[in-house]
Amino acid sequence: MKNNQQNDDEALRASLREWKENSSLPPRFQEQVWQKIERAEAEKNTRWNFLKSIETLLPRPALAVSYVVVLLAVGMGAGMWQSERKSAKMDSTLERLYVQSVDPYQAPRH
Amino acid sequence: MKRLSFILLLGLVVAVAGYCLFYFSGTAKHRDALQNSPPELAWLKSEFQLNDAEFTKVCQLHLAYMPHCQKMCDRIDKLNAEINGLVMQTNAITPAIEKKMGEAAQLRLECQKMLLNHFYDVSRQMPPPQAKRYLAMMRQQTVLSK
Repeated sequence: MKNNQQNDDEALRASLREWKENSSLPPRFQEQVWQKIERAEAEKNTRWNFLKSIETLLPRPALAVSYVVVLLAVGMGAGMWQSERKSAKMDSTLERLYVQSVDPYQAPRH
Repeated sequence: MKRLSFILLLGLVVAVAGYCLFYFSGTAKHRDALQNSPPELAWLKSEFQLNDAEFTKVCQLHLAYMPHCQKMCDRIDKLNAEINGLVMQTNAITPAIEKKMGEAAQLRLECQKMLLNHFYDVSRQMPPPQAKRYLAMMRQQTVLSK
């Protein structure tokens, strides 16, 4: 089993030694690769810097209070919007119930 | 780091608390109405801004109307069943079907008159602008408009 694997590795090495790459690289290939690497690193740094700045800025009292106030406003706004929607839905359900209770042609049949 | 986590968490807790406060206080009136029996009358009270005296009178009228409405429902169901039976027995309009259809039209008219009378009775307990709105709304949504 081990011998077989060694033979395969040898064969692969021999093939790789014989293999010749004839096609040429595209123009400015190396430069483009470095640019790609630089861009990826810059992106990573931006994200990291952003998180770092949150970590340093948010504990400041003024920013912490602003953050809490903004979230409170968002929560209250969402609650109000949702309650208005729910109330409108309940209104229309109760209105339908009233109409069904008085109109014999719309009363639910059992 | 501990302080940052506390601030982030506090923001979320405050947001959820704000949401719950506005949601539950905004829907409290309707939730109360649903607890009442019957809830549709509580809706009538809030929709047409009835005071307690007006509401009591409207409830009395509603309760007095209910047996008549039930009787009418029974008559409609009985007549519909008779018409269905006759329609299934034949493949052309017979004098018996025609007679029952006439009775159905008559019953509908009777029902419309009864309903309109009830709406007038209820609207008389309301302030005039609300009465007008109530009549328009009921006329549009009941057998009166069909």
